[in-house]
Amino acid sequence: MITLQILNKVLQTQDMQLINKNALTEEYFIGYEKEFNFIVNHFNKYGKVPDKATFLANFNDFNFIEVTETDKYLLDALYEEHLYYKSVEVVQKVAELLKSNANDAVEYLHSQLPNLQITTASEGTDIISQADERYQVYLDKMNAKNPWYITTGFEELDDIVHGWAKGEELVILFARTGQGKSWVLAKTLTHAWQLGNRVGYISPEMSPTKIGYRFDTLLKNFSNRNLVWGKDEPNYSDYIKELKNYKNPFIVATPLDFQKKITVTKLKHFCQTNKLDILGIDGITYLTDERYKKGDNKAITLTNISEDLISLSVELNIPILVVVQSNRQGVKDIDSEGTPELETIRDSDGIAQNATKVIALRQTGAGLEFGIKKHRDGISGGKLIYYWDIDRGQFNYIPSTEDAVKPETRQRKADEIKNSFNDGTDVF
Amino acid sequence: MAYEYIFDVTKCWYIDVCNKFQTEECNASCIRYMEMDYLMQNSGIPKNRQYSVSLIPSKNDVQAFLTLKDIKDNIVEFVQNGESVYIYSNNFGNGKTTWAIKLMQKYFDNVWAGNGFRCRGIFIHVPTFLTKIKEGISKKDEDFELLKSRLLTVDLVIWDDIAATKLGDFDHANLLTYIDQRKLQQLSNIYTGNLSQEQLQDALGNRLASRVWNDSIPVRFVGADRRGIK
Repeated sequence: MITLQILNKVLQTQDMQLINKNALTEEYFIGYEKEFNFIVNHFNKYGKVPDKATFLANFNDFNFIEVTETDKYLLDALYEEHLYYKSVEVVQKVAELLKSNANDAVEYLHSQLPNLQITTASEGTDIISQADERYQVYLDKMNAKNPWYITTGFEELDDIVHGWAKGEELVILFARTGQGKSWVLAKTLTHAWQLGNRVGYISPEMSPTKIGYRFDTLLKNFSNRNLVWGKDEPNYSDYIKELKNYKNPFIVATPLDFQKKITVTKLKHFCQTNKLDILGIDGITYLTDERYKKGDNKAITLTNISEDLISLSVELNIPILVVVQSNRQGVKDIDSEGTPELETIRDSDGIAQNATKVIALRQTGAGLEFGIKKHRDGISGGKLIYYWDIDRGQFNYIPSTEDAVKPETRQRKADEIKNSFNDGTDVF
Repeated sequence: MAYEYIFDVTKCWYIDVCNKFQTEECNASCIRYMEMDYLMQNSGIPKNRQYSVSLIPSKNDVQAFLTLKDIKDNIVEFVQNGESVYIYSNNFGNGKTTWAIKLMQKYFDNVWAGNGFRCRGIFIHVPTFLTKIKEGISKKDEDFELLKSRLLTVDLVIWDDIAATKLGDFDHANLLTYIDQRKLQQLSNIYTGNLSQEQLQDALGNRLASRVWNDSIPVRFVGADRRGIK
């Protein structure tokens, strides 16, 4: 009935606003799809709503009724009816799944809940009247006991990106294989842990023990080779004893911890259970798309996953860092060509669209280059070079007139480095 | 071939003077070593000439040495101002190329801090370069293409043995293009050769000879061949 009322109101008032302003589509007009599409097409072609005679000529059994309800009432009723139809579909599928596996049923239900949001005739947020709320958030950030941003562990990178925001932050680290993406992720998470944060690391390829050795190397510069190969490493046992005194956890989870199927819903549970302050995922392709529909290609799945991850970041108020592989076009052998570009992110533009920060990595003959490809709250396009001692987990900034660090910071660093050499005599 | 960083302390340029030599800081992460290695390897300076050599002038070349020392002491300004020098002599083996390399090395020594692995200077042996350009017509060499593109932007170029052979039209056009472009962009050059002004005009043609001679500080060595003298 409600759909009939809306169509009648549009025909009666000769005003498309009710449809256009609220972005109503044919899926809201079950049973009246043809009538709805006729009105829309007519309006798009002739610039006006069809009159009663024209409409009757095409739909002679259409029931014309007098509508006096407000737009708000009509929309609220329409949304409620629409939600009913969608819910029935989901509930039926859940009931079906429950017969065989409750886990699958609940997982499916979780995945569909975002699509079953209660909608009302809302008209967005008025940022003028809502200014007080915004100001309060600003004050909260300014006066928070702990900083709103978690520094990255790379001082010069912080100079450019200002760290990882606690919420609404999806960071993509991308590169070809073997360029150091996982190490950079481990480095920044280790640093976050050092700051007292509770850290989560999803490791699809490496065991918690191996990640643990990387953590030790990054934290105290133990030789990673010695730790992995079981060779003598001075002071390692003392360090292990001392490490246990720390209260904040660094939790590594593998696909086995998620019954071999990592979904964003499961990640949410993982973050909430462990009260995480930051989450790192070492490979987006290991995640399962909960919104997957038959026929969806990889690009759609990855876009869905990245959308869900940014939503998760907003909901839990934590930064989420994800490692992504670039495709073959991302290979650049010549030093002067720089880091791979955004379009080389494998299988998805959607990932880059949903990300708040995108950082490309590339090992050159001389160092590890960071390319800032996207920075939603700042300037993109800058670069940074670090010398990386992979065995000791040390990253040393190499100042360069072409990098994106503030000139005064860069000059100070260059002077510090130069002055640390005291040759006395000229060599050349 | 793509540059690859390999640390070898025995090849450090500063081994005799560095306060960090044989300390904990003397390792692969030494930024000075890394930057100097990058600058040297990418410059194309022959490996056996990448280290400092003491030069003692013959009596007749003292003034030329003093002029070059003055340039060396102010090499950063020299390069920043886009100045050029032509070091020439009728004789062979009296230190022209060594001096040219010394000037470039001194420049590297001044700019390595904050360089960020950029190529800042290139050594070109002109006869070899012109031959390679001809070879490149039939066979593409990516490294050589990179070198040619860098010639148009790099701070300092040594054109060694310019006019060692009489130039054909093709060679002349190529050389003129690179040198002309560099002059237009006020980039610095060091030329070495065996020809005087008149001979240069004859060998390079008026236009190119004018770029090399008139836009440069000419420094003439008159001493005899000193190769092999210890």
